[in-house]
Formats: sequence, C-alpha cells, structure tokens
Amino acid sequence: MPRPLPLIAVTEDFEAFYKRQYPRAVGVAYALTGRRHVAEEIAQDAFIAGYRRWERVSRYDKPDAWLRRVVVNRSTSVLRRGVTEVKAIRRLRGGVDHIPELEPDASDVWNEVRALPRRQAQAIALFYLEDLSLDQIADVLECSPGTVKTHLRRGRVRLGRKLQTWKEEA
Amino acid sequence: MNTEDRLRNASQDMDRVTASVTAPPVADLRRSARMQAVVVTVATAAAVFMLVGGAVVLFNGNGTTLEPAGPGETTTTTNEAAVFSNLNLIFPDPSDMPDMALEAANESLLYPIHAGRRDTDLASTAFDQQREYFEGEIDVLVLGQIGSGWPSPRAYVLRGVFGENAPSGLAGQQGDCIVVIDEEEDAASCGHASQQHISWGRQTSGAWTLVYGRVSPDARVVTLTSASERSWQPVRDGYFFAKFGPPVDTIEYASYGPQGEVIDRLALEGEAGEELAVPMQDIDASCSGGLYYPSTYPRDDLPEPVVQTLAKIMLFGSRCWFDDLEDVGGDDLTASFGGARPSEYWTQAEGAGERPMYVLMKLLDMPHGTIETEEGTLYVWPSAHAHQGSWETMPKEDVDALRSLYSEADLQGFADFGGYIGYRVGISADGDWSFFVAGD
Repeated sequence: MPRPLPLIAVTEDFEAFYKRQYPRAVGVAYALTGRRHVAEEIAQDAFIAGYRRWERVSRYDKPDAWLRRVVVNRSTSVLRRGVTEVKAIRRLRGGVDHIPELEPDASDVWNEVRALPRRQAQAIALFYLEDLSLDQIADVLECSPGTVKTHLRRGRVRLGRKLQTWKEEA
Repeated sequence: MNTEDRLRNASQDMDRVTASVTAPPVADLRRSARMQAVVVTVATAAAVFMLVGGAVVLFNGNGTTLEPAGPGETTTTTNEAAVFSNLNLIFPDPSDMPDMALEAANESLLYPIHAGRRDTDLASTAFDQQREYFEGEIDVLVLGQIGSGWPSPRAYVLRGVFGENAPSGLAGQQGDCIVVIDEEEDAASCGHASQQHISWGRQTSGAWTLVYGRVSPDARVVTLTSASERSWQPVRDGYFFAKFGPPVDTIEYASYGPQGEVIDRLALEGEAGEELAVPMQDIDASCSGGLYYPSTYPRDDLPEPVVQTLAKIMLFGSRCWFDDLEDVGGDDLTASFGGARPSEYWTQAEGAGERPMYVLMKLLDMPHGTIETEEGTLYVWPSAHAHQGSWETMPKEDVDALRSLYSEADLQGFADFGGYIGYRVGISADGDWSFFVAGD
C-alpha cells in the first residue's frame, strides 16, 4: 500500500504568514497579469497550495520566496495561456474586484513591463514592487544573482525605449 | 521623468492599490483547500506523458470520472485499451522510492529520478525545467521510464500536451487521451488523432518515474505486476509516484525502436545560398518540434553548461514555447529571422507551415563539432558545420548524419556550393546559445 502522506498541520504561523504576505502576493500578480481579479485568484491559489504543503513549506529557510515563486510562475502561466480566467482556482469571495485600479501612468508602465520578456518582467516586478535584493530575486527565480542583474539591466533598457517611444507618440 | 522614476512611481501606486487588499478569512482558504482536494481527478488536465516499454500512462482531460476496478480486484488482460480506459493512476508501492523522489513529490517538483547516464540526464534536466510551468496547472503528470525490465522490445517515447492549459498552439485541443501501444503496427495512438504528438525516442532502461497529481478519494491505484496483470487498490488523496519495473542500478543503451524514418525527410527549397525554407509535409501538428524527440546520441564529451542549454532548447523547442526559447539565447542569439525578435519569426514560420522547431530538434540530435574562436570553443550542430575543408573531404559520418534531415538533392546542393550551408546551431562552452541560422 502506498505510504500515507503526512497530514498537514496548519498552525498559527500559516495564518500570520498568510495575512502578512497576501497583499504583496496580489500586487506582484496584478503587476504581472494586469488583471485584478485574476491577481487575487492567483494569490489565493498560491496560498491554498502553501496551506496544503505548510508542514514542509514552513520549514523552508524562506517560505516567502517559495510563495513568490508560485505567484510569479502562475502569473506567467496565465499570460502564456492567454486565458481570461484562471481555472481550477476557487474564488473565495465571489469573483468581484476588491482592489482599486491603478493610476493611468502606473498602469501604462506595468503594461510595458508585461510586454518584456518573461524573466525581465519578473525581475523588475520583484525588484521594484517587492524591494527584493538581487540575491532574493535569484532565490525566487532560481537563477544566479548575475543573471538577475542582466535581466534587470536589459529590462530597464528595453522599457526605457518603450516608454520613451510612448511618450513621444503621446 | 526617467524610466527609474516611473517604475518607482508605478510601484508606489501598486502599493497604494494593494494596501486596500485584505486577505479572505483563513477559514475560507482551508475550505477551498479541502474542496480542491476532492475535485475529481483530472478536471482540467493538461498532460505531458512519456511512455515506455510496457507500461502506459493515461489520463482523462475532461473531468470524466474514471471507473477502475474495485479495491483488491486484479484485472488481467491483454487488451490494453480496455485497461487504460479504466485506469486512473499507475503506481506501485512507493515505499522503496529513493528519498530524493519522495522529497520531489512532496514538493511537487517534477523530475524523474534517474541513474545518471547522459541522455537520461538530459531528459531529467529538461523535465526539471517543466516544474514551473506545470505545477498546479495540471492534475496528472506522468513521466515514464523507458524500457526497463520489460520483456517487450518496445521502446517508444510518447509525448503529448493536451487541454486548454496546454502551451502555445496546442491550447484548446482538449479531450480524453488514452494511449495505446500497438506492437504489430509499431504505432501508438491517442484518443484524438489531431492531438497526437508521437515520436520514437531513446531506448534506455532504468529511469525512475514520478507521478504528480491529484486524485479523488474514490480513485484507485493499479499496481503493475507484469505487462498484463494489474491489481487495484484504493488510494488516498495526495501526490503520488509511479515506478515501473525494478529498482535500477544501470542504464543500458539500445538502438531506436522502430526502423526507418518516422517522418519524411525534409526537402529544402531554393538554391544554395538562399534562405532555406523547410516545407511542412503532411504532418498535422501544432508544433513541429513535438514531432521529434532526441536521442541516443551520446553527449558525454560536452561541457555541462552546453548540456544544460541543449536541454532547455529541446524542452522549449519541442513545445514551441518561443518566449522561453528566446530567453535561452537572450539578446545575443542570432537567428534566421526577419522580424524584430526570434520568437516572432519562429511563431510566424511555424504558423506558415515551415517547421523551424523540428529542424532545431533534429539538428541537436546530430553529432556535433567544435570550432575554436577567439572567445573559446564553440560547439556546433551539425558536425558538418565545423568541417573546415572542402565538401569532398568531409568525413563520411558527418555527411551521413545530414541525411536524416536533408535529401540527396540537398546534399548535392551543398556539394555544389562547396560546403555545408544548411541550418546550424552554435553554443559556446559556457552554455551561451549563439546562433540558429541557415544560409551562407
């Protein structure tokens, strides 16, 4: 018979972790998907995954890095598939937007960020939104700090060109 | 305002927005987690599967509840189609799985455990890369081992990606997929022909198999005790492994399973020196890279960074994940393209019926050569590209390797030109993908 998997013991730690990290997870997902309700769904789904694995995740040196990785990857997956809804995610609050819209300029900037190559967009979101260091971003993206630095540099350059063009056109 | 300032301001505005966000009650989260756990197994399954030697993997992509035999029953059959249509998950007792595999499953990391031979390493590396794409998005993923311990000489690698969660051009192709191996016909089929991505691959033995997935509380496990006997047992919700065959100490190599060409050779159009266009030849596939899977070609003499880059190229190329493929090369990649970015060109070319990804896969499965440059050793495919002399002096094995991709007329074209000017790939010793080009 298969060995029973250990039951997950949810502790107060998870709840504290959840409450502390949830808004930031939504922010990263919003930046990377551009859709508010989808961002909430992605964040919720990530925390559900974390809940189910909490016994293990809580023992990680950096459970927040694990969470960010899940959020970043799922955000990217949503974009990759081009779906309008995130399926297999159970909405907890009826699927309505609970977060306000961004200012137009901020919205434009994040639109351009999302148009960057995937890794560049992820690095920029984590660097600017989350104030993570290169080492911390490297943990999340599972690459070297040097690679993160390259993604950031290339992303900024490309973004600068796009924003400049946009400004001139405007 | 410069870019930096605009990014800072945009981030501050995002902070403002998310400051109003409150987490739903944790009780709701728990309830959702429990509900997810009982969602019928494969409600939104997209699937990647490899199959091998005598065992098969399956699943259902439409949320249909599968009805396996009852607990404790043993089903003996030679009708694999019947068995597979009732199969939910395959795995035997995982208690003897290596700790590494247990660790991987508990973390939902998706990679097969293997015994360390190079070509298996390559596959493992590739699948390791998949985890970020599939974790949480599919309900069942089975990575199979190849040919281990089974009396059958079959050595097929089947791959497929189905369902609306499938990447790139496969998205939306959804349906039940039951893999059937037909030894008589040397063929394998899936429930939906147009979704079928089949290629003949390596025959090795011994890789561990890892199954990742959710199952419903009433799901069953089938234990493979032989190629035709399966005993059913109830399982519990969670993440599972599969292992076919006995524990493995060594991996053996063998030749490809079926004989002959699976896919017709490509015919190159145009005169030598022109951009080479590779026509699609009656192949129904959304991504030509999925038509071919490498490889028995030994790569023991390649530096590890090169092997890693190869694995990424093969993974992304075989699925037409062009953004990811482009990322492998970064800004320094030179590709044969007319658009602003290689990914744009590849997208357009695949859509136009050319098949650059098939060519890419095929090239990387050929013997390589090396070119010494001022910046170090460059590893190139095919080996013919590294030949410095005239076409007439090119070693026979280098020319023969080209025959899997080119017709005799194409080779004559190269001879007339005086050297190989077909598609070629270059990767530097430190793993930087330098080019994928054609022409002179």
